Amino acid sequence: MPDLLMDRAKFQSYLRHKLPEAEKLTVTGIKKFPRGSSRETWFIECEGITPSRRKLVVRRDFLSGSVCPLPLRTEYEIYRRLGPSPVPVAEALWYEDGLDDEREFFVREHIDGTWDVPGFQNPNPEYDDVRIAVSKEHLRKMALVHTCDWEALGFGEIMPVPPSPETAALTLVDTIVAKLEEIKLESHVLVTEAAEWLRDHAPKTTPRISLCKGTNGLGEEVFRGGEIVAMCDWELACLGDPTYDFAQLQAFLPEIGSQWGLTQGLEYYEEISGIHIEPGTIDYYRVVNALHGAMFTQNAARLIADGDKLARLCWGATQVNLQFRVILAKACGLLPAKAASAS
Amino acid sequence: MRPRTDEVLDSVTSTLDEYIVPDLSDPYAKTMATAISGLLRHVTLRLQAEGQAFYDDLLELRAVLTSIVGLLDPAVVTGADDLAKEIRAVLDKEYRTSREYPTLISLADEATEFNHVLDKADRFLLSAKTTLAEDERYQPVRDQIRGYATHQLGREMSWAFDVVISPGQERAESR
Repeated sequence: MPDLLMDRAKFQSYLRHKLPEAEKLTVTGIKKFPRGSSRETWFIECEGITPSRRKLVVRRDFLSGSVCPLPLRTEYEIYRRLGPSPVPVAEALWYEDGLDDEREFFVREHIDGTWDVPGFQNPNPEYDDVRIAVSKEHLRKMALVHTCDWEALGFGEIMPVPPSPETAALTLVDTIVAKLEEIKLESHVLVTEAAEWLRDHAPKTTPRISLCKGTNGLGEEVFRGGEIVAMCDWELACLGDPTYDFAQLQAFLPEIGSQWGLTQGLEYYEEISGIHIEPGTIDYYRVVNALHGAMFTQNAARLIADGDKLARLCWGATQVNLQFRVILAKACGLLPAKAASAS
Repeated sequence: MRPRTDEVLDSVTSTLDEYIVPDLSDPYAKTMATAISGLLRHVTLRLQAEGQAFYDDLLELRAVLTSIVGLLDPAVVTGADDLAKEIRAVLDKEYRTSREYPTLISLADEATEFNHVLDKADRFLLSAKTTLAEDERYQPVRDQIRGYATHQLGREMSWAFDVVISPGQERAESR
Protein backbone atom coordinates (compact mmCIF):
# COMPACT_ATOMS: atom_id res chain seq x y z
CA MET A 1 0.00 0.00 0.00
CA PRO A 2 1.43 3.43 -0.91
CA ASP A 3 2.27 5.57 2.09
CA LEU A 4 2.14 9.33 1.73
CA LEU A 5 4.45 9.84 4.67
CA MET A 6 7.17 7.66 3.14
CA ASP A 7 7.29 9.79 -0.01
CA ARG A 8 8.63 13.27 0.65
CA ALA A 9 7.84 14.65 -2.81
CA LYS A 10 4.31 13.35 -2.68
CA PHE A 11 3.72 14.75 0.80
CA GLN A 12 5.17 18.08 -0.27
CA SER A 13 2.76 18.17 -3.18
CA TYR A 14 -0.09 17.32 -0.82
CA LEU A 15 0.88 20.13 1.60
CA ARG A 16 1.14 22.69 -1.20
CA HIS A 17 -2.35 21.70 -2.29
CA LYS A 18 -3.62 21.92 1.28
CA LEU A 19 -1.89 25.23 1.97
CA PRO A 20 -2.28 27.17 -1.28
CA GLU A 21 -0.77 30.26 0.34
CA ALA A 22 2.49 28.32 0.63
CA GLU A 23 3.20 27.66 -3.05
CA LYS A 24 6.93 27.70 -2.34
CA LEU A 25 6.67 25.28 0.57
CA THR A 26 9.43 22.67 0.67
CA VAL A 27 9.37 19.66 2.94
CA THR A 28 12.90 19.33 4.28
CA GLY A 29 12.34 16.44 6.65
CA ILE A 30 9.83 13.75 7.56
CA LYS A 31 10.71 11.81 10.69
CA LYS A 32 8.70 9.15 12.47
CA PHE A 33 8.68 9.34 16.23
CA PRO A 34 10.02 5.90 17.11
CA ARG A 35 8.22 5.54 20.43
CA GLY A 36 4.59 5.67 21.41
CA SER A 37 2.45 2.59 21.74
CA SER A 38 -0.98 3.92 20.81
CA ARG A 39 -0.64 5.74 17.49
CA GLU A 40 1.99 6.88 14.98
CA THR A 41 3.44 10.37 15.34
CA TRP A 42 5.41 11.99 12.49
CA PHE A 43 7.36 15.23 12.53
CA ILE A 44 7.41 17.31 9.38
CA GLU A 45 9.87 20.14 8.80
CA CYS A 46 9.17 22.72 6.14
CA GLU A 47 10.65 25.81 4.61
CA GLY A 48 9.06 28.54 2.56
CA ILE A 49 6.14 28.94 4.92
CA THR A 50 5.20 31.09 7.90
CA PRO A 51 7.30 30.30 11.01
CA SER A 52 4.37 28.88 12.93
CA ARG A 53 3.93 26.21 10.26
CA ARG A 54 7.57 25.23 9.78
CA LYS A 55 7.20 22.27 12.08
CA LEU A 56 4.09 20.11 11.86
CA VAL A 57 2.98 16.95 13.58
CA VAL A 58 0.99 14.20 11.87
CA ARG A 59 -0.96 11.66 13.92
CA ARG A 60 -2.45 8.47 12.53
CA ASP A 61 -3.28 4.94 13.60
CA PHE A 62 -1.02 1.96 12.97
CA LEU A 63 -1.86 -0.08 9.88
CA SER A 64 -3.74 -2.54 12.10
CA GLY A 65 -5.53 0.14 14.09
CA SER A 66 -4.84 1.69 17.47
CA VAL A 67 -4.38 0.46 21.01
CA CYS A 68 -6.03 3.68 22.08
CA PRO A 69 -9.76 3.41 22.75
CA LEU A 70 -10.33 6.98 21.64
CA PRO A 71 -10.87 7.21 17.87
CA LEU A 72 -8.33 9.29 15.94
CA ARG A 73 -11.06 11.68 14.85
CA THR A 74 -12.04 12.28 18.48
CA GLU A 75 -8.43 13.04 19.40
CA TYR A 76 -8.37 15.64 16.63
CA GLU A 77 -11.70 17.08 17.78
CA ILE A 78 -10.38 17.45 21.34
CA TYR A 79 -7.51 19.59 20.09
CA ARG A 80 -9.77 21.52 17.74
CA ARG A 81 -12.46 22.23 20.33
CA LEU A 82 -9.97 23.27 22.98
CA GLY A 83 -8.46 25.78 20.56
CA PRO A 84 -10.68 28.69 21.62
CA SER A 85 -10.45 27.76 25.33
CA PRO A 86 -7.86 28.89 27.89
CA VAL A 87 -6.43 25.35 27.97
CA PRO A 88 -3.03 25.39 26.24
CA VAL A 89 -2.93 22.87 23.39
CA ALA A 90 -1.25 22.61 20.02
CA GLU A 91 -3.43 24.00 17.26
CA ALA A 92 -5.24 21.30 15.32
CA LEU A 93 -4.93 22.25 11.66
CA TRP A 94 -6.96 19.72 9.69
CA TYR A 95 -8.23 16.16 9.59
CA GLU A 96 -7.59 14.22 6.41
CA ASP A 97 -9.91 11.41 5.42
CA GLY A 98 -10.30 12.08 1.74
CA LEU A 99 -7.26 10.43 0.19
CA ASP A 100 -7.69 7.15 -1.66
CA ASP A 101 -5.58 4.27 -0.33
CA GLU A 102 -4.20 6.34 2.54
CA ARG A 103 -4.90 6.00 6.24
CA GLU A 104 -6.74 8.90 7.82
CA PHE A 105 -4.56 11.33 9.72
CA PHE A 106 -4.65 14.75 11.28
CA VAL A 107 -2.13 17.55 11.29
CA ARG A 108 -1.39 19.82 14.21
CA GLU A 109 1.24 22.40 14.95
CA HIS A 110 4.43 21.42 16.74
CA ILE A 111 5.05 23.20 20.02
CA ASP A 112 8.62 23.93 21.04
CA GLY A 113 9.40 23.09 24.61
CA THR A 114 10.32 20.22 26.87
CA TRP A 115 8.50 17.66 29.00
CA ASP A 116 11.51 17.52 31.29
CA VAL A 117 11.80 20.51 33.64
CA PRO A 118 15.46 20.87 34.71
CA GLY A 119 15.90 19.84 38.31
CA PHE A 120 12.43 18.40 38.85
CA GLN A 121 13.69 14.83 39.12
CA ASN A 122 16.86 15.76 41.04
CA PRO A 123 16.27 14.51 44.61
CA ASN A 124 18.54 17.18 46.11
CA PRO A 125 16.41 19.35 48.47
CA GLU A 126 17.75 22.48 46.73
CA TYR A 127 15.30 21.60 43.95
CA ASP A 128 12.26 21.36 46.24
CA ASP A 129 11.17 24.84 45.16
CA VAL A 130 11.36 23.75 41.51
CA ARG A 131 9.19 20.76 42.30
CA ILE A 132 6.60 22.86 44.09
CA ALA A 133 6.56 25.45 41.31
CA VAL A 134 6.05 22.76 38.66
CA SER A 135 3.36 21.12 40.75
CA LYS A 136 1.47 24.39 41.15
CA GLU A 137 1.77 25.22 37.45
CA HIS A 138 0.41 21.79 36.57
CA LEU A 139 -2.48 22.22 39.01
CA ARG A 140 -3.28 25.61 37.49
CA LYS A 141 -3.52 24.08 34.06
CA MET A 142 -5.55 21.11 35.29
CA ALA A 143 -7.91 23.63 36.88
CA LEU A 144 -8.33 25.24 33.46
CA VAL A 145 -9.20 21.85 31.98
CA HIS A 146 -11.71 21.04 34.73
CA THR A 147 -13.41 24.43 34.69
CA CYS A 148 -13.62 24.93 30.94
CA ASP A 149 -17.13 25.13 29.52
CA TRP A 150 -17.15 21.71 27.84
CA GLU A 151 -20.79 22.10 26.82
CA ALA A 152 -20.18 25.34 24.94
CA LEU A 153 -17.05 23.81 23.37
CA GLY A 154 -19.16 20.93 22.06
CA PHE A 155 -17.58 18.07 23.98
CA GLY A 156 -21.00 16.55 24.56
CA GLU A 157 -21.05 15.79 20.81
CA ILE A 158 -17.93 13.64 20.91
CA MET A 159 -17.99 11.95 24.33
CA PRO A 160 -20.60 10.21 26.49
CA VAL A 161 -22.17 12.69 28.89
CA PRO A 162 -23.01 11.32 32.35
CA PRO A 163 -26.70 11.97 33.12
CA SER A 164 -25.63 13.64 36.40
CA PRO A 165 -22.47 14.22 38.47
CA GLU A 166 -23.55 11.36 40.75
CA THR A 167 -23.53 8.90 37.82
CA ALA A 168 -20.15 10.02 36.42
CA ALA A 169 -18.31 6.96 37.72
CA LEU A 170 -20.99 4.53 36.54
CA THR A 171 -21.01 6.09 33.06
CA LEU A 172 -17.25 5.68 32.84
CA VAL A 173 -17.27 2.08 34.04
CA ASP A 174 -20.04 1.20 31.59
CA THR A 175 -18.17 2.88 28.73
CA ILE A 176 -15.02 0.88 29.47
CA VAL A 177 -16.94 -2.39 29.81
CA ALA A 178 -18.72 -1.71 26.51
CA LYS A 179 -15.37 -1.18 24.82
CA LEU A 180 -14.10 -4.47 26.27
CA GLU A 181 -17.15 -6.14 24.75
CA GLU A 182 -16.26 -4.63 21.38
CA ILE A 183 -12.68 -5.92 21.56
CA LYS A 184 -13.86 -9.35 22.76
CA LEU A 185 -10.64 -11.28 22.31
CA GLU A 186 -10.83 -13.19 25.58
CA SER A 187 -12.94 -13.01 28.70
CA HIS A 188 -11.67 -12.68 32.22
CA VAL A 189 -14.28 -13.21 34.89
CA LEU A 190 -11.98 -11.14 37.14
CA VAL A 191 -12.75 -8.07 35.01
CA THR A 192 -16.50 -8.66 35.38
CA GLU A 193 -16.08 -8.96 39.15
CA ALA A 194 -14.01 -5.78 39.24
CA ALA A 195 -16.55 -3.85 37.18
CA GLU A 196 -19.26 -4.99 39.59
CA TRP A 197 -17.15 -3.84 42.54
CA LEU A 198 -16.65 -0.46 40.89
CA ARG A 199 -20.39 -0.07 40.36
CA ASP A 200 -21.12 -1.05 43.96
CA HIS A 201 -18.49 1.33 45.33
CA ALA A 202 -19.06 4.30 43.02
CA PRO A 203 -18.68 7.62 44.88
CA LYS A 204 -22.00 8.95 46.11
CA THR A 205 -20.96 12.59 45.82
CA THR A 206 -19.17 14.11 42.87
CA PRO A 207 -18.01 17.73 42.64
CA ARG A 208 -19.19 18.25 39.06
CA ILE A 209 -18.95 16.93 35.52
CA SER A 210 -15.76 18.28 34.00
CA LEU A 211 -13.72 17.68 30.91
CA CYS A 212 -11.05 15.29 32.19
CA LYS A 213 -7.69 14.88 30.51
CA GLY A 214 -6.79 11.35 31.51
CA THR A 215 -3.04 10.77 31.51
CA ASN A 216 -1.40 13.89 32.93
CA GLY A 217 1.73 15.06 34.65
CA LEU A 218 5.37 14.23 34.05
CA GLY A 219 6.04 13.39 30.42
CA GLU A 220 2.62 14.54 29.20
CA GLU A 221 2.89 18.34 29.18
CA VAL A 222 5.22 20.70 27.32
CA PHE A 223 7.01 23.33 29.39
CA ARG A 224 8.73 26.48 28.26
CA GLY A 225 10.10 29.01 30.71
CA GLY A 226 8.46 27.29 33.66
CA GLU A 227 5.01 27.41 32.08
CA ILE A 228 3.00 24.63 30.47
CA VAL A 229 2.56 25.78 26.86
CA ALA A 230 0.87 22.65 25.57
CA MET A 231 -1.00 19.81 27.21
CA CYS A 232 -0.57 16.55 25.32
CA ASP A 233 -1.88 13.00 25.38
CA TRP A 234 -5.67 13.20 25.57
CA GLU A 235 -6.18 9.55 24.73
CA LEU A 236 -8.01 8.77 27.97
CA ALA A 237 -9.99 12.02 28.04
CA CYS A 238 -13.63 11.86 29.06
CA LEU A 239 -16.42 13.86 30.66
CA GLY A 240 -16.72 13.01 34.33
CA ASP A 241 -15.49 13.53 37.85
CA PRO A 242 -12.25 15.58 37.86
CA THR A 243 -10.98 13.20 40.58
CA TYR A 244 -10.35 10.80 37.68
CA ASP A 245 -7.43 13.02 36.62
CA PHE A 246 -5.87 13.06 40.08
CA ALA A 247 -5.74 9.28 39.97
CA GLN A 248 -3.66 9.50 36.78
CA LEU A 249 -1.39 12.34 37.82
CA GLN A 250 2.21 11.32 37.15
CA ALA A 251 4.81 12.61 39.61
CA PHE A 252 3.66 16.25 39.80
CA LEU A 253 2.33 16.03 43.37
CA PRO A 254 5.55 15.10 45.17
CA GLU A 255 5.56 14.74 48.94
CA ILE A 256 8.07 17.29 50.32
CA GLY A 257 8.00 16.98 54.09
CA SER A 258 5.34 19.26 55.55
CA GLN A 259 5.89 21.79 52.78
CA TRP A 260 4.01 20.16 49.94
CA GLY A 261 2.11 17.05 49.01
CA LEU A 262 -1.35 15.74 48.20
CA THR A 263 -3.04 17.67 51.02
CA GLN A 264 -1.46 21.01 50.14
CA GLY A 265 -1.89 20.38 46.42
CA LEU A 266 -5.60 19.66 46.72
CA GLU A 267 -6.06 22.78 48.89
CA TYR A 268 -4.26 24.88 46.29
CA TYR A 269 -6.28 23.29 43.49
CA GLU A 270 -9.53 24.01 45.35
CA GLU A 271 -8.51 27.65 45.88
CA ILE A 272 -7.96 28.20 42.17
CA SER A 273 -10.73 26.03 40.74
CA GLY A 274 -13.42 26.00 43.41
CA ILE A 275 -13.51 22.20 43.09
CA HIS A 276 -13.14 20.02 46.18
CA ILE A 277 -11.48 16.64 45.61
CA GLU A 278 -11.89 13.88 48.20
CA PRO A 279 -8.57 12.02 48.66
CA GLY A 280 -10.41 8.73 49.25
CA THR A 281 -12.11 8.99 45.87
CA ILE A 282 -8.72 9.22 44.18
CA ASP A 283 -8.10 5.62 45.27
CA TYR A 284 -11.41 4.58 43.68
CA TYR A 285 -10.40 6.15 40.37
CA ARG A 286 -7.04 4.36 40.49
CA VAL A 287 -9.04 1.17 40.25
CA VAL A 288 -11.05 2.63 37.35
CA ASN A 289 -7.69 3.38 35.71
CA ALA A 290 -6.73 -0.25 36.10
CA LEU A 291 -9.96 -1.27 34.35
CA HIS A 292 -9.13 1.21 31.58
CA GLY A 293 -5.65 -0.24 31.40
CA ALA A 294 -6.94 -3.80 31.23
CA MET A 295 -9.10 -2.66 28.32
CA PHE A 296 -6.52 -0.95 26.15
CA THR A 297 -3.89 -3.62 26.77
CA GLN A 298 -6.50 -6.14 25.65
CA ASN A 299 -6.78 -3.96 22.54
CA ALA A 300 -3.03 -4.44 22.05
CA ALA A 301 -3.66 -8.19 22.11
CA ARG A 302 -6.39 -7.67 19.50
CA LEU A 303 -3.92 -5.88 17.19
CA ILE A 304 -1.47 -8.78 17.54
CA ALA A 305 -4.25 -11.28 16.84
CA ASP A 306 -5.15 -9.24 13.74
CA GLY A 307 -1.59 -9.44 12.43
CA ASP A 308 0.45 -6.55 13.88
CA LYS A 309 4.00 -7.64 14.70
CA LEU A 310 5.25 -4.90 17.03
CA ALA A 311 6.87 -6.53 20.06
CA ARG A 312 5.86 -3.67 22.31
CA LEU A 313 2.22 -4.60 21.72
CA CYS A 314 3.01 -8.07 23.08
CA TRP A 315 4.66 -6.49 26.10
CA GLY A 316 1.57 -4.37 26.76
CA ALA A 317 -0.84 -7.23 26.16
CA THR A 318 0.99 -9.60 28.51
CA GLN A 319 2.91 -8.04 31.38
CA VAL A 320 1.14 -4.68 31.54
CA ASN A 321 -2.29 -6.28 31.19
CA LEU A 322 -1.43 -8.67 34.01
CA GLN A 323 -0.34 -5.79 36.26
CA PHE A 324 -3.69 -4.08 35.74
CA ARG A 325 -5.59 -7.29 36.48
CA VAL A 326 -3.64 -7.73 39.73
CA ILE A 327 -4.71 -4.21 40.78
CA LEU A 328 -8.32 -5.09 39.95
CA ALA A 329 -8.06 -8.38 41.86
CA LYS A 330 -6.77 -6.60 44.96
CA ALA A 331 -9.52 -3.99 44.75
CA CYS A 332 -12.37 -6.50 44.57
CA GLY A 333 -10.92 -8.81 47.22
CA LEU A 334 -9.72 -11.63 44.98
CA LEU A 335 -6.16 -11.02 46.13
CA PRO A 336 -5.07 -9.60 49.49
CA ALA A 337 -4.20 -5.91 49.28
CA LYS A 338 -0.58 -6.69 50.11
CA ALA A 339 -0.18 -9.55 47.62
CA ALA A 340 2.88 -9.45 45.37
CA SER A 341 2.50 -7.39 42.24
CA ALA A 342 2.87 -8.93 38.81
CA SER A 343 6.53 -7.98 38.37
CA MET B 1 16.33 -32.95 19.43
CA ARG B 2 18.89 -30.96 21.45
CA PRO B 3 19.07 -28.19 22.25
CA ARG B 4 15.49 -28.19 23.55
CA THR B 5 13.20 -25.26 22.76
CA ASP B 6 13.77 -23.70 26.18
CA GLU B 7 17.54 -24.04 25.72
CA VAL B 8 17.33 -22.30 22.34
CA LEU B 9 15.31 -19.49 23.84
CA ASP B 10 17.70 -19.15 26.73
CA SER B 11 20.69 -18.86 24.40
CA VAL B 12 18.91 -16.31 22.19
CA THR B 13 18.04 -14.22 25.26
CA SER B 14 21.57 -14.35 26.65
CA THR B 15 23.12 -13.49 23.31
CA LEU B 16 20.78 -10.54 22.89
CA ASP B 17 21.52 -9.28 26.41
CA GLU B 18 25.28 -9.78 26.22
CA TYR B 19 26.23 -8.95 22.66
CA ILE B 20 23.52 -6.80 21.11
CA VAL B 21 21.80 -4.61 23.71
CA PRO B 22 25.01 -3.09 25.14
CA ASP B 23 26.01 -1.88 21.65
CA LEU B 24 22.73 -0.17 20.89
CA SER B 25 22.97 3.61 21.05
CA ASP B 26 19.53 4.63 19.82
CA PRO B 27 17.20 4.95 22.85
CA TYR B 28 14.24 3.48 21.00
CA ALA B 29 16.22 0.48 19.80
CA LYS B 30 17.35 -0.05 23.41
CA THR B 31 13.76 0.14 24.61
CA MET B 32 12.61 -2.36 22.00
CA ALA B 33 15.50 -4.71 22.72
CA THR B 34 14.73 -4.57 26.46
CA ALA B 35 11.11 -5.43 25.74
CA ILE B 36 12.19 -8.28 23.44
CA SER B 37 14.59 -9.64 26.06
CA GLY B 38 11.78 -9.64 28.62
CA LEU B 39 9.37 -11.25 26.18
CA LEU B 40 11.86 -14.03 25.42
CA ARG B 41 12.11 -14.79 29.15
CA HIS B 42 8.33 -14.63 29.37
CA VAL B 43 7.99 -17.16 26.54
CA THR B 44 10.53 -19.47 28.21
CA LEU B 45 8.57 -19.38 31.47
CA ARG B 46 5.29 -19.99 29.65
CA LEU B 47 6.80 -22.92 27.81
CA GLN B 48 7.62 -24.47 31.17
CA ALA B 49 4.47 -23.60 33.09
CA GLU B 50 1.59 -22.81 30.76
CA GLY B 51 0.68 -26.36 29.79
CA GLN B 52 0.11 -27.38 33.40
CA ALA B 53 -1.63 -24.06 34.06
CA PHE B 54 -4.08 -24.75 31.25
CA TYR B 55 -4.71 -28.26 32.55
CA ASP B 56 -5.39 -26.86 36.02
CA ASP B 57 -7.53 -24.02 34.63
CA LEU B 58 -9.63 -26.36 32.52
CA LEU B 59 -10.17 -28.84 35.35
CA GLU B 60 -11.32 -26.05 37.60
CA LEU B 61 -13.41 -24.45 34.84
CA ARG B 62 -15.25 -27.73 34.24
CA ALA B 63 -16.06 -28.00 37.93
CA VAL B 64 -17.24 -24.38 38.18
CA LEU B 65 -19.36 -24.56 35.03
CA THR B 66 -20.93 -27.82 36.18
CA SER B 67 -21.87 -26.14 39.46
CA ILE B 68 -23.37 -23.21 37.57
CA VAL B 69 -25.50 -25.50 35.40
CA GLY B 70 -26.85 -27.08 38.57
CA LEU B 71 -28.00 -23.65 39.74
CA LEU B 72 -29.78 -22.64 36.53
CA ASP B 73 -33.46 -23.37 36.86
CA PRO B 74 -35.60 -22.04 34.00
CA ALA B 75 -38.59 -22.07 36.34
CA VAL B 76 -36.84 -19.53 38.54
CA VAL B 77 -35.17 -17.16 36.11
CA THR B 78 -35.64 -16.30 32.42
CA GLY B 79 -32.77 -17.22 30.18
CA ALA B 80 -31.44 -19.94 32.47
CA ASP B 81 -32.25 -22.67 29.99
CA ASP B 82 -30.40 -21.04 27.08
CA LEU B 83 -27.36 -20.37 29.24
CA ALA B 84 -27.35 -23.92 30.56
CA LYS B 85 -27.43 -25.24 26.96
CA GLU B 86 -24.55 -22.98 26.01
CA ILE B 87 -22.48 -24.18 28.95
CA ARG B 88 -23.23 -27.84 28.21
CA ALA B 89 -22.19 -27.32 24.58
CA VAL B 90 -18.81 -26.03 25.72
CA LEU B 91 -18.42 -28.85 28.26
CA ASP B 92 -19.40 -31.57 25.79
CA LYS B 93 -17.42 -30.31 22.82
CA GLU B 94 -14.51 -32.45 21.63
CA TYR B 95 -11.54 -30.12 21.33
CA ARG B 96 -9.15 -32.67 19.88
CA THR B 97 -9.19 -36.32 18.93
CA SER B 98 -7.52 -38.95 21.07
CA ARG B 99 -4.60 -39.00 18.62
CA GLU B 100 -3.97 -35.28 18.74
CA TYR B 101 -1.43 -33.89 21.16
CA PRO B 102 -2.80 -31.01 23.25
CA THR B 103 -0.63 -28.20 21.94
CA LEU B 104 -0.43 -24.96 23.90
CA ILE B 105 -2.31 -23.21 21.11
CA SER B 106 -5.16 -25.72 21.18
CA LEU B 107 -5.33 -25.53 24.99
CA ALA B 108 -5.38 -21.73 24.79
CA ASP B 109 -8.29 -21.84 22.35
CA GLU B 110 -10.14 -24.32 24.53
CA ALA B 111 -9.57 -22.21 27.65
CA THR B 112 -10.75 -19.11 25.76
CA GLU B 113 -14.10 -20.79 25.03
CA PHE B 114 -14.48 -21.98 28.61
CA ASN B 115 -13.60 -18.57 30.03
CA HIS B 116 -15.97 -16.83 27.67
CA VAL B 117 -18.95 -18.92 28.76
CA LEU B 118 -17.91 -18.63 32.41
CA ASP B 119 -17.81 -14.86 32.13
CA LYS B 120 -21.20 -14.86 30.46
CA ALA B 121 -22.57 -17.05 33.25
CA ASP B 122 -21.08 -14.82 35.93
CA ARG B 123 -22.75 -11.76 34.42
CA PHE B 124 -26.00 -13.67 34.28
CA LEU B 125 -25.75 -14.67 37.93
CA LEU B 126 -24.92 -11.11 38.95
CA SER B 127 -27.84 -9.70 36.98
CA ALA B 128 -30.22 -12.29 38.46
CA LYS B 129 -28.90 -11.87 41.99
CA THR B 130 -32.16 -10.73 43.55
CA THR B 131 -33.94 -13.82 42.21
CA LEU B 132 -31.23 -16.42 42.70
CA ALA B 133 -29.74 -15.23 46.00
CA GLU B 134 -32.46 -17.11 47.90
CA ASP B 135 -31.05 -20.37 46.57
CA GLU B 136 -28.54 -21.62 49.18
CA ARG B 137 -26.30 -22.79 46.35
CA TYR B 138 -25.97 -19.28 44.87
CA GLN B 139 -23.26 -17.88 47.13
CA PRO B 140 -21.09 -21.05 47.13
CA VAL B 141 -21.21 -21.01 43.31
CA ARG B 142 -20.27 -17.32 43.26
CA ASP B 143 -17.43 -18.10 45.67
CA GLN B 144 -16.33 -20.92 43.38
CA ILE B 145 -16.25 -18.52 40.40
CA ARG B 146 -14.23 -15.98 42.35
CA GLY B 147 -11.94 -18.75 43.59
CA TYR B 148 -11.26 -19.79 40.02
CA ALA B 149 -10.46 -16.17 39.07
CA THR B 150 -7.95 -15.97 41.93
CA HIS B 151 -6.30 -19.30 41.11
CA GLN B 152 -6.13 -18.55 37.39
CA LEU B 153 -4.48 -15.19 38.06
CA GLY B 154 -2.00 -16.84 40.41
CA ARG B 155 -1.05 -19.37 37.74
CA GLU B 156 -0.44 -16.55 35.23
CA MET B 157 1.66 -14.61 37.70
CA SER B 158 4.21 -17.42 37.68
CA TRP B 159 5.38 -16.22 34.26
CA ALA B 160 5.29 -12.49 34.90
CA PHE B 161 8.47 -10.64 33.92
CA ASP B 162 9.81 -7.22 34.63
CA VAL B 163 10.53 -4.70 31.89
CA VAL B 164 11.08 -1.13 32.94
CA ILE B 165 10.54 1.56 30.38
CA SER B 166 10.50 5.05 31.83
CA PRO B 167 7.89 7.61 30.76
CA GLY B 168 10.83 9.87 29.98
CA GLN B 169 12.01 7.54 27.27
CA GLU B 170 8.50 7.59 25.86
CA ARG B 171 8.14 11.33 25.66
CA ALA B 172 11.62 12.70 25.04
CA GLU B 173 11.03 13.64 21.44
CA SER B 174 7.31 13.41 21.04
CA ARG B 175 6.47 17.10 21.35
